[in-house]
Amino acid sequence: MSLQVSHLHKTYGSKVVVDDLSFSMEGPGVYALLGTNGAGKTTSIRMMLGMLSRDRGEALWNGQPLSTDSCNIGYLAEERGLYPKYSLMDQLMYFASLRGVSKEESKKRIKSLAERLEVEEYLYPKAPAPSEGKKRGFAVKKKEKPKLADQLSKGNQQKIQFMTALLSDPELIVLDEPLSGLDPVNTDIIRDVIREEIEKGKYLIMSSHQMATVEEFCTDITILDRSKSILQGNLNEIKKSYGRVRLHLKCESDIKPFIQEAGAAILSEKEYEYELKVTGEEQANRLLAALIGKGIPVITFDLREPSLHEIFVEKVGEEHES
Amino acid sequence: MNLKAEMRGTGQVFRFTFLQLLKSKGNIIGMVFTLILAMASMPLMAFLGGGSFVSDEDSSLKALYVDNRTALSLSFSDLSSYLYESAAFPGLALIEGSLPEEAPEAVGAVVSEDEDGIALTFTWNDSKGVQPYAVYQLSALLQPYIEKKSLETLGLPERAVSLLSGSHVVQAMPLAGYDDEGTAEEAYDNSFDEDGYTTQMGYSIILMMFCIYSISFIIRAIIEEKSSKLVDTLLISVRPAALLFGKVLAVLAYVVIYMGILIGGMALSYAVTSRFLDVSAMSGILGAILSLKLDGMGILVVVVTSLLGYLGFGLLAGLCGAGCSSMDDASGAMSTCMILIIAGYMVSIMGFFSSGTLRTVGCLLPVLSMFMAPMNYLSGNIGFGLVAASWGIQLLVILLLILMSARLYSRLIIYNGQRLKFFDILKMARGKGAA
Repeated sequence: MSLQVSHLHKTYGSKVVVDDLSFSMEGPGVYALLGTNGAGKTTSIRMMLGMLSRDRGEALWNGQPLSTDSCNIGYLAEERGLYPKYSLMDQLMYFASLRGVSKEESKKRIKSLAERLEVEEYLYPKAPAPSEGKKRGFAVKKKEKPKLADQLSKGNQQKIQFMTALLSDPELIVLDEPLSGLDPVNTDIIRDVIREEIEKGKYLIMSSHQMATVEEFCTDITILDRSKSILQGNLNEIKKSYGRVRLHLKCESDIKPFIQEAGAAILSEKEYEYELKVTGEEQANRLLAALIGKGIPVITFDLREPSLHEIFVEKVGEEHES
Repeated sequence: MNLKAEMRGTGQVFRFTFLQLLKSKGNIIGMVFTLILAMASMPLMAFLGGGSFVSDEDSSLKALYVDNRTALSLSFSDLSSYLYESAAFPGLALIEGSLPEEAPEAVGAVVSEDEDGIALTFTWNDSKGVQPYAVYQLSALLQPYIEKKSLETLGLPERAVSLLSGSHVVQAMPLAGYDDEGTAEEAYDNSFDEDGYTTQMGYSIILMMFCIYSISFIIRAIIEEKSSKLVDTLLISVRPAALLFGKVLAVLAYVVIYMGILIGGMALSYAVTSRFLDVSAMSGILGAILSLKLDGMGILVVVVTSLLGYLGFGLLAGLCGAGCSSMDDASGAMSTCMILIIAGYMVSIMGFFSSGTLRTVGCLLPVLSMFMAPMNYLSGNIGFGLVAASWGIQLLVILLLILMSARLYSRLIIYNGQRLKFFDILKMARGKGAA
């Protein structure tokens, strides 16, 4: 199976919102669409999924136009919500039925996903304990009513929405900002589920501002800025192309004169702990040799490739400068 | 465009929307309240219309004592025929003489004469099972008989008495409708179809209520979906036209149930009320309905025409609703449909007496035909051919609206911003606007 997105282009009046976007996924994995706010990520996803008309371009799944007819797609939209006054179970059953999942299968999948995402208590109201209703002799406690969407916290609503994307057991999962607004505990829960889906051999397209998460999962990326693709390719190769140019250095005294002498740039500094931009291993080793030569104890010396966050900021910054 | 593919998922959208409408607490309360109002409607109308009780207590009036103190020659057999015209006093015995003090369930009528003329005075014994309203009803029945007898004492010929005591008829009609050979009454009846007009008005009111109630539900459901930010999640699974059409059908089913409760409640109320109260005012409306050509074909014409009209309005309401971004815009979105519905209602009422050509045009035009065609068909003013032609036109309009929805609905429901008016939506359809 493969996904081929070619020359997607969209304008609103005279404004170009997506400019000739192309990328492909030849096998299972995670593809990240990254970009600044308003760069065109969501519009690209909507066009790709056929929800928004395209001026040009196409999206193919195994050579067929990508749609719910040719591919089982799960989509977590950036703009998400639930019917506020309807029961959560009704809503999930509805979304599953729209994807052609049978009633019995829907129930099984909802149960399984609810366990994985730890939202069972909102979907399966507890029956009262046998002793509970008899305590006062007259009041029999009723079974809890099913929860409505507006009775849930934002994080739990988001987990229910995440369930809707996975209900049809999709082969292609598109997640637009899947972790935004979640607390660390819920972030970890959803990350675990995403990891499980990757292990099952699913195709994932992810759009996010959380670079650490994207970096953890994705194999290939496209960075969009002001509707254009400014960087595209395999993440490891991109990082390699930059080389090991970031140096994390921690000492017990001020070493700024040594850094200046070596010609490295200070990116950040905090109590004798420095993030440096170096030209490569030679410059970093020269600095280390200078410090050791003067008998300055070095606690941490970590020369590494730039992170995705650093690449993103640098690349977008370059584009804006040009 | 593959219409079948565009409509896939309509069933699921229909089922979900319909069940949620039925489960909604507000709607349940509304239905119960409607049922209570419908049940109360007939007794209220009977009382407001001056109706009186026809309960068992009324019919328990057993005897009427007639004490004639005048020179009028009252015939008990004539008197009986006047009284028996009303079913309110079955088995009432007529007895000559004054009312005895201990007579239970009996009324006395004293016919006397003084300087001012004839007086008819009714008396009864308190706490003897006589209700005052039964006496008033009895007096209303006897009064015309006494008046007739008074006139007869003047020695007038029978013709003169009947002219003086009878009602007078005033007629107005075009010259073409007047027949010199004395059949003016028949010509008048043909030009003023009172039963037809009554049913046209009743049908138009019910249909107007049905449509207004429905479009408000459709528009609110669409705006709720938009403001709940569910659109993207839904559009991955179901085509926009199916999303809209499913809702329109669900609202139709719900409003049919709602109207069923309203009309069923009123019918039940009529059945119960007529046992205890005089509902002759409503009998007139029922008579008008029964005078129509309401056979299987007639029912089919009413159902299909109103259904097609509703679908047209529903789709239009869907498009208007999709152009809104919040509930604040709902009333604005409703206005376009409301104007058309009220126009259809007004024209159907005023146009009932229109000439052949105007009537034909009205029965064919999309907005008007749902109001005009069924009642004109049932009254025998138009034939089935014209009704079928109006169905064809309505189907064409619905198809155009479905195609328009398929093209525009996804753009409209993704759109967020100032409410798009219907003309903006039309511009978009022509590819001149951008949402």
